[in-house]
Amino acid sequence: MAQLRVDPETILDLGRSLLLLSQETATEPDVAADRWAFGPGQAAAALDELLCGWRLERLRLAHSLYDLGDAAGCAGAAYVSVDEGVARLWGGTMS
Amino acid sequence: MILAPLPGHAPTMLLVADELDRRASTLAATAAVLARLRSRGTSWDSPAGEAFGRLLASMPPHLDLVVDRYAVAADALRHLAAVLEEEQAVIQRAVDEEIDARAHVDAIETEIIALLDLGVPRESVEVQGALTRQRAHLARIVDAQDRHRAAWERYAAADEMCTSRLRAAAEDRLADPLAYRGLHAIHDLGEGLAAVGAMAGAHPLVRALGVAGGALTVVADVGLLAGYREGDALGLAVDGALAFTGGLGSAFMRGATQGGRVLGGVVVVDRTLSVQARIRAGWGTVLKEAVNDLRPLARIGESVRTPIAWVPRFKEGAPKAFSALWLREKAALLTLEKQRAALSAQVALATAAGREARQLWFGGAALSVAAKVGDQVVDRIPMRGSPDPPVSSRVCQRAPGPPPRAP
Repeated sequence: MAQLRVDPETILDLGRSLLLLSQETATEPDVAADRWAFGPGQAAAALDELLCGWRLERLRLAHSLYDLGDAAGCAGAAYVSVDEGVARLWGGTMS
Repeated sequence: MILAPLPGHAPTMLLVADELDRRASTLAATAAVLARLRSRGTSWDSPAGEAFGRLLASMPPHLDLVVDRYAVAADALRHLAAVLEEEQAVIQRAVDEEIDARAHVDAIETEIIALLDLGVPRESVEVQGALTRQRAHLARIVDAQDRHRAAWERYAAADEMCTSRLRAAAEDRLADPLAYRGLHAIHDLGEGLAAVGAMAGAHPLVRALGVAGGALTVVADVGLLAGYREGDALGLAVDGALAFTGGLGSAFMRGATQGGRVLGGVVVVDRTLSVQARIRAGWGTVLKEAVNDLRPLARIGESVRTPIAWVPRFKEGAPKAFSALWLREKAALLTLEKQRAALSAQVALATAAGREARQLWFGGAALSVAAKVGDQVVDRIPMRGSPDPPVSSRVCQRAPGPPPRAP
């Protein structure tokens, strides 16, 4: 079986990205300020509905992403700690 | 008919589209990384890694739907922005041409009238020449109107197409259920009514509507918390407790003054009541007052039919030139005097009714003050990350702290 090796920093970075994405998903894009720019048609109202009409799932998703980012952060930190321990054991230093 | 320019700003629409595209790209890239990590061959060599792997497996597969929403919206907006920009230019040219042609028509009209006033015959070369030029400018007006109408129709068709695409994209598994939307609508309505009712010097009818609005908000919040685990149980409990504390305080104060009256400045105690009986009687009075406050609601239809009855008028012979400031100060003084007199009478009644009644009155007053002050204190406590702060679609801000818990 092919093995995919992921270094601890990658997992830590993924955790950070997930946390940022969680924050972004938790916030609702507000097109009210830009409504005037869409002209006199119905497009602005339809866009508003598209962006704001999934609040329940948006908050669920944001929380899932937050939990995942948190877990990735823990996992990444654990791998980094193990790496550092092994390096110390062999008398080397980690950058 | 004066032609109207087409409102809108395509560059701003493109900025919105860019922001949506950026969100779609970020989500798509993250979804791709998560999908790779979720593939069957992945194993984790630590408890933390295994916990992460388990969470990854239970992750709802919604990211792709969100990417679709943002990507479809960005594409639809780009198309509409292109049409808007193009047709805006056509419409603006038509508007300018129509204004110019109308100015020429008016000038030639003046010229023809002047010629006729001078006695130049209508069939003369000068008048006929002017009429021919005028007809040419009238034709320019008709042409400008035709181009304006056609461009406007092309924009309307593009807007309709964009709207249809956006609405179709909104009908996916992510869309909020009807009941959830209903609860939010009730919450918003209740908040609006409560805000209007809380305005200083509001009419009793408006105050009663405010009370009803507050109740609506609490009902909707309980529904959201119970049905969707959305909201803050602690905040809801504090709101309810403060409302209850205020009601309890009023009941204590009313109960303490039961069984006595003030006649010509003299306190007369008719009955001796136990503390329990006083509290029961106090609650009865508070409820009766609440019903009285709500009673004007039943007369809404009548008041709409006869709105003139609500307009306050000065009596005959009253001074006509009161300054607004003087009137306000006078009203505030009168209110203060009235409140002071009413409070003095209540304290006198409670004191005459005995030590327990006096303690009940002061306890009630303390609770009422606590409810009012507590409300303000709770309002001032900074929240840890607004649950749903609005952000501009152009400049995407990020809320601090974890997102609000949802099931």
